[in-house]
Amino acid sequence: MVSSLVNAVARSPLPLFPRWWRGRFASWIERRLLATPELRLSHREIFIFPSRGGWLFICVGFLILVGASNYQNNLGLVLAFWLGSLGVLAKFLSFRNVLGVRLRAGDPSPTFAGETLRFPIWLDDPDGRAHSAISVGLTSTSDEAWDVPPQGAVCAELLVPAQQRGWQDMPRFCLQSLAPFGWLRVWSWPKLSARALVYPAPLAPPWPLQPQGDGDGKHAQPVSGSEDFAGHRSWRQGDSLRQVDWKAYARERGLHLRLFVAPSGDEWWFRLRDLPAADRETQLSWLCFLLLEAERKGQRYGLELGAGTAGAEKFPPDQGDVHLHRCLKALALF
Amino acid sequence: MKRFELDRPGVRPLLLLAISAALLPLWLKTPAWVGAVSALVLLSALGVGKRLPRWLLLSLVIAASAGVVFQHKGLFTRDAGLSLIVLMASFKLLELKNYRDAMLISALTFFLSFVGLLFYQSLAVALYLFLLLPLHTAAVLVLHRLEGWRGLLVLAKDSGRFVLLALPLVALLYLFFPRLSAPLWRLPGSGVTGPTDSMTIGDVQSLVLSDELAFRVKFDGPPPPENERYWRGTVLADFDGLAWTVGMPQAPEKIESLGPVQRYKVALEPTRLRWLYALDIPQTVDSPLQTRRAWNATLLTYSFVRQRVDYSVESLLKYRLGADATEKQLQPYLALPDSGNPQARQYARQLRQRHPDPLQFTEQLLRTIHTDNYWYTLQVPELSEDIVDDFWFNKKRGFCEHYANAVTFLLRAGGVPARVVVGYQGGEWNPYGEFLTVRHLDAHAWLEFWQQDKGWTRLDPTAAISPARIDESYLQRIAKRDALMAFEGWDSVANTVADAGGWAVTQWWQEANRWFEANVSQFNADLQQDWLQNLGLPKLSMADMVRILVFGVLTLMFASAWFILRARPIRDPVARVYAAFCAKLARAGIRREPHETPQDFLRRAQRAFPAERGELRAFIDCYLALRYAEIGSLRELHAQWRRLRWRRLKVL
Repeated sequence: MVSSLVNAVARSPLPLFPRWWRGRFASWIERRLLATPELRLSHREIFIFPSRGGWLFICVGFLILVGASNYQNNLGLVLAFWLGSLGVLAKFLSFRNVLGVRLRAGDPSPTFAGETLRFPIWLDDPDGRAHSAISVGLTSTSDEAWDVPPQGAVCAELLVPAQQRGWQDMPRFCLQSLAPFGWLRVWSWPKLSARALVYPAPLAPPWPLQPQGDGDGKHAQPVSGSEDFAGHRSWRQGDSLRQVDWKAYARERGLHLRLFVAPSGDEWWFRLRDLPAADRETQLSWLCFLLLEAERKGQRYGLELGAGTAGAEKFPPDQGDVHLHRCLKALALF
Repeated sequence: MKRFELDRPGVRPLLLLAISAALLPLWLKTPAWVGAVSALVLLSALGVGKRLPRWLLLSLVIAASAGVVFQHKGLFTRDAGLSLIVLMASFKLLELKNYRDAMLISALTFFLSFVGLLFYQSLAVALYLFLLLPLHTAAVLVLHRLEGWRGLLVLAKDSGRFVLLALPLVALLYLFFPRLSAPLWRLPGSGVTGPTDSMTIGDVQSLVLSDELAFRVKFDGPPPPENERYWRGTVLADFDGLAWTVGMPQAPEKIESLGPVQRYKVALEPTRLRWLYALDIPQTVDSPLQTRRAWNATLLTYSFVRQRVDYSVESLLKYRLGADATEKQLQPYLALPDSGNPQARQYARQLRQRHPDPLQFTEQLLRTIHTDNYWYTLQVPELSEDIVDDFWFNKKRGFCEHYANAVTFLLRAGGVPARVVVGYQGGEWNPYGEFLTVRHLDAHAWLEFWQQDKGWTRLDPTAAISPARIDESYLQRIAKRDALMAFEGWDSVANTVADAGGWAVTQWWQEANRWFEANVSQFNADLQQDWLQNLGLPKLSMADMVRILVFGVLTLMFASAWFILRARPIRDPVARVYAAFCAKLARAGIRREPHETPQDFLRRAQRAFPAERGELRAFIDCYLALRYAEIGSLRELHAQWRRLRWRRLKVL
């Protein structure tokens, strides 16, 4: 995690910081701001420093001050004083804009490796205060920003590339704001405890799509539409929407599933040990692809992981989103 | 929403508006074509200008810069600098592509305001530029608002609030910030005008009327009347037919005091000359620059006045100077070139024969000026080689130098010792600051003639010109300078306004201008001390002032930090009262859960605080009625809240 932060800081637009300093900063912050499920930003977590625009204004103000002093132009001096005073106030106003923001992370929906995880971060203020133009991103250059409405909340998204299958912790991220003046950058590097499940990346196997058959080695060729209609069952959470009898729903009979009875020979079994030899990750990616394909075709499928029969993880044939998720999760965590 | 998109509503328009408003006064100070080009470029920034190809833009910029160089004959003068910054600021707006450009432009608006303040000293323009500050602030704010200028009312309120919040700090800094007593540099082009160390007549000239400050005077006691304010700079005794110069040093002239002493302090701006100005005859002088009183009662310095110098003088307004001068001592003041101006010489000799008394002789000359067709004008025609003849008998028009030159010549030709004096006359009295401002346009030349027993006597031939023959354009230029100050020339306007009941307003405006002149545009280190003493502070050294400044700034910073950080953010007044209610109950131990409705919360609170059941119920009823049915009033809700606010709540 430290390394990802070092990368993040390294990519930040701060050319002034030498590399070793960035590393020290990252590890210091790692020790200082520990992961919590919920964080309310206080002065302990917030940093503030003039932005580039801020330095520009400091220069202009100084120029006006020197010029007005030289020409003994009192109104010019007033202008310089006013800019300086506003700068001082801007410091507090910018700080105020970030102070008190409450961050709560949610678990994102699982994603396949190589795609982008969208970690939801709920931003609100328990005091009902409004905060403006708060941006959230992996680096300090990200420019997606959100307004926190008064007495309301907004859901910001932290976009993180899903790297490897398995659990992926929410990385440390940069929360920053330039509002209201743009002269000061107020930022924090909070870490929230949330994690995302990353499925293996689906990979089409090199043989033509033909699911492995059941135990006796018979390769069943599924024929689409071969299932026989068996009846209705009321919809339960987790059931696939594809099987809903929408016509019945339109007649206001409620949500019902159309149940089919497929011949037992049409149950597809995916077994890790039956796959051609390849490295484990590739095999899991193939399986992932096959599972998705089977689900897409409305097929009933089962999954068996593990080398031997003894310790094997077995998912009896079924179908639907819940079943798919269970299988993919098993792949992810295998 | 992207943070730095410039296409959010209102971002470009506000920036454009802010910079145009800041440029407006500058357009009037630049050559017409610069103002026109700048305005056109700004207008085009709304449409076609944004799509200009880069090479065209670049060549336009180069052409404009070349135009500036051509117009001002150089690049490093004050006016060229102004033209250049006006043009470049406008062209920058065509290049408004990303956030960085926008930040640069918003910084430029403030800088251009400062340039405007440098070029204008009047109250009207100052008011205009300072009233623009909320607009400039809004242009900065809108850059960092995701919704742009949507919610304009909130934006306006914010910018106004921020401008006002800064004021206490500004006041403190204004009072205590140390002022420079001498400038660090001067721009070429803002050169010194006014008297020089010689006086050449005969060229086609026009006196430059510059309203730049020459010096400021603070009197001990009342100031002398206006017609007695003659500030002697130097005395020119030697005439070669074309030019007057100081001439050889002489024996010191005897000074006798005939009246009280006038004490005053002068703050002289740099002149690059080698004398100080003093009212009539200086008796003693106390100056940081080494100074001596010369033989002819002028104050000469040993080095050039390159920086502002503050000195105090005691002067004699009633005096007798050089009454005991011998014939030999007077000889240089009778000398004339061997030849030239024969007509004038003859005229003077004849006149002297008719009026042997020197006083009558001079009076006769003045009468001639008054009755004959002599004009005061700044546009003088070229004079022929015999400048006195040509002026006195033919052209009869000129300004103070011409009259001083001619009358001195005639006096000498008539056998009366005379010499030219160069300096300033008059000055503007500021009743608020109680000081006198003398500007370069008050520069003047007059003369002194010598009489037996009376010594050197001042004579101002210009004053003898009939007021009917003073060139209008001169008056107009004076009037232009005083346009805001004085309404004399505008009698009809003033009367119309007065008839319409606006007299009080014009009066008030004049008063405001004088106050502004005294306390803002001419506020300096001396005035600063005066102000602080008026506030009841003892005389402070620079170090004390810096200490007070630092302490004050820190205090105000903490105060504003407290003010901002505790600021109540909930804008909805009903919600604010309800939040305060919830906060009070939370402090007493009953915290409202996020999902709890006011009713549910009330039930729980009533169980916890049985003693306040009635008040709690009344408050919540009032809140619900107001919030959801819009029945009742905010005042009622506040009344209910007051009944609970100071109550000590005890959990059962």
